[in-house]
Amino acid sequence: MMTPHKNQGGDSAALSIRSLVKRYGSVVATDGVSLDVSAGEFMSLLGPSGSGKTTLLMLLAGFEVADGGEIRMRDRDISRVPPNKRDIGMVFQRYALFPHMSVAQNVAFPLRMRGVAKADREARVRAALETVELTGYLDRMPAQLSGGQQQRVALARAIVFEPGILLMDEPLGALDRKLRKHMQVELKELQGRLGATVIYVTHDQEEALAMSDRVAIINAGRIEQLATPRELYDAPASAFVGDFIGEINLFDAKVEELESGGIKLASGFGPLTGTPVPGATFSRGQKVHVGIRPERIAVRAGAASDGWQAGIRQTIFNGSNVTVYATMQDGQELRATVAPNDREASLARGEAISLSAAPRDVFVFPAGAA
Amino acid sequence: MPDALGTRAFRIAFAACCALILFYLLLPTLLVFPISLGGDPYIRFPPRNLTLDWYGAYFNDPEWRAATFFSLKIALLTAVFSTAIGTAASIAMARGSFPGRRLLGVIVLAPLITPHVVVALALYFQFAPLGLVGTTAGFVAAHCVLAVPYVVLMTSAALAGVDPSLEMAALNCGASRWRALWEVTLPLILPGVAAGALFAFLTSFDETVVSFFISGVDNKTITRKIFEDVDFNLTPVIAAVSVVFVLVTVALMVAVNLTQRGMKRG
Repeated sequence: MMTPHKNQGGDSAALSIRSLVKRYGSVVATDGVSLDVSAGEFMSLLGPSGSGKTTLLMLLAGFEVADGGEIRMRDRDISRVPPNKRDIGMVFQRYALFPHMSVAQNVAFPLRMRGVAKADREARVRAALETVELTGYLDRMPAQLSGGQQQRVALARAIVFEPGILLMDEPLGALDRKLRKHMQVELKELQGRLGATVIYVTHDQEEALAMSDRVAIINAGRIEQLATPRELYDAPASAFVGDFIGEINLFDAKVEELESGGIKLASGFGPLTGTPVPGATFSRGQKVHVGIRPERIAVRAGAASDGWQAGIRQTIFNGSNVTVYATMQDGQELRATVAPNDREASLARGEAISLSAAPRDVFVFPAGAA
Repeated sequence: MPDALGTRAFRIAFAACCALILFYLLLPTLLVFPISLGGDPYIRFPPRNLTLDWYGAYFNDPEWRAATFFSLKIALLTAVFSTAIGTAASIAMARGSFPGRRLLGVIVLAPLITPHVVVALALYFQFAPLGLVGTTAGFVAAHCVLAVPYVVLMTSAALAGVDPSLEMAALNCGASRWRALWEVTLPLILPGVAAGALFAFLTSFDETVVSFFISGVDNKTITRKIFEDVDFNLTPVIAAVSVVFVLVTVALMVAVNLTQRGMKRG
C-alpha cells in the first residue's frame, strides 16, 4: 500500500526535521531537534512523560506550529501546513474512533474527506480492514468492540489513505500486558509488509527496543541519543540513556589516569578501569558518572584479591536469573545478575564476595548531565 | 427486625413529607385546572356548573389566538437563533484559544443573574429609538439575550463530554475545521443542542417581564395578554389559557428530559 518514495534530491529520508523549536511561554518543549527518518523505517521516540515527545508528535501531525526550524517530507517543508493537508496518518492514544460512526464509516472517513468515489471507497475500506485482520465487523459501532479490535480499526483508518508517514501515539498503552505483547509483534509485521514509515511514540522502553529499527531517546526537549536498540543498550551516550534503557548501576568516581586502554578511576569501593563514551573528553581529577549493567558484573564467592570486596545483602530470584544485591566497602549498593544454578546465587546474607567488570563494560559518562 | 422497621418507617415519613412539599408547591398551578371549568362568568373556587365553554372562548377569540400564535412564532425564532448563537459561543469557549475567553463566558451567562426587569428596561430604552418595540425582530432579539445562556450551559456540558482528540483525528483524516465540526463535533453534542433549543423555546414562551415592556398594541405575547386581562377582564378564560400554557410547558420539559437521557446514553 505505502510504497517508499523515491527522492530526487538523493537523500532517502521520508522525513527530515531540522532544528525544530517549540516554546510554551518560558518552557522550551522542543529544543532544537534534528532527525532523519528513512523510508520504511520504524522509529520510536522514547522518553519519560514530560520529556517533550508528545509535543514533537503534535508538531509532526500539525496540531502545534513550531516556533523555529523545519519539517520536510520528501521535498516539501510542511511545518506550516495545516494538519488536514499533511500526508500523515495517525493512531491516537485512546484510538479516537468516531463513536457515532460504524467501523466501515470510521475507516471510510479519510477517503470521504479526500473525495474518493463511493465504489472505490468500499473496496479500500475492505482492503484496509483485511490488512489489520478485522473483517466482518463493518457495521459494528466502536463501543461494541474490544480494545484490541478498536486498535485495529484505528490502524485501518490511519493507513487506508496510504499516507507517507504513520504516527502512533502510545497505541498499545491501553491494552493489557499480554495483548500488548501480541500486538507489538503484529504491528511490526504489518509495518514490514506495508513498507510503512512509522514514527512511534512511547514511554515503554521494552516496547521501543522490541519494535524499532532506531530509537530516539528524548529528554528535556532534546534528542539524547538516536541509535539502534542494540547500540543504545551496549553503548549508551549518557548516564540518562544508560539508566532509561535497561538496568544499570550508576555511581560517582574520579578520573585518576587516562590511558589508551581506558580510564583509570577511583571510586568509593576501589579502583576500576572504564571506557569513555564517544565524544566526551576527560581530564585527570575530573568527577564522572560510571555505569555498569548488572549482567556485566562478575560475582565470585569469597574475598578474591583482584576484585572489589563486598558482602551479600540479598539475592532475588527472577526466574531466568538471580539478582545479587551487594553492599560495597563504602556502603553503597551494586546489583549483579548471575545464573540461577551458579554457586553465587545461593549465598546467604553477609557472606563475602568479590565483584569485577571488564573495562569495555564500564561506561564513563561526564558528570553533571544526570 | 426492629431496625429495618425503624428505617422503613422513617423512609415512609420522609417520602410523605417530600410529597406534601411538592403538592404545596404545585397547588397554585393545579388550582387553575378546576377554575377553568367553572360555569360562572367570574373566577370562583370551588367551581360550579362545570363547562368547557371557556376553552371554546379562548380558541375562538381572535385576540387570544393572535397572542398565542405570536408567542409561538417568537419562541420558535428565539429557539433557532439562540441555539445557533449559543452553540457557536460554547464551541468557541471550549475549543478556541483567544484572549478574553473567560470574560466572554461571564458576559454570556450574565443575563441569567441580572433581574429581568433591569434587562427589560435596558432593552426598552435601546429599542424605542430604533423602532424595535412591538416588532418580531425586537422580541426575538430580546428573548435571545435571555435564552442564549441556557443554550450555552447545555451545549457546554455536552462539549465537555467530547474528547478533543476526536476532532484532532478528524483533522488528521483530512477534514477541514468546518467538516470536523459538522461531521464529528455537532453530531456528538446534538442531544445537548436539542435540549438547549427546547430550553430556549421555553424561556421565550414563558417570558413575561421583557414582553410586558416591549409589546406593542398589535404584537403582544400570550403572557402580556394574560396580564392585561387580569387587570381589565377577569373571566375563567384566563384559567383556560393558563391550563393550555401549563400543559405546553410540561410537554416541553418532558421533551428536554428525554433528550438529556439520550445524551447520557450516547
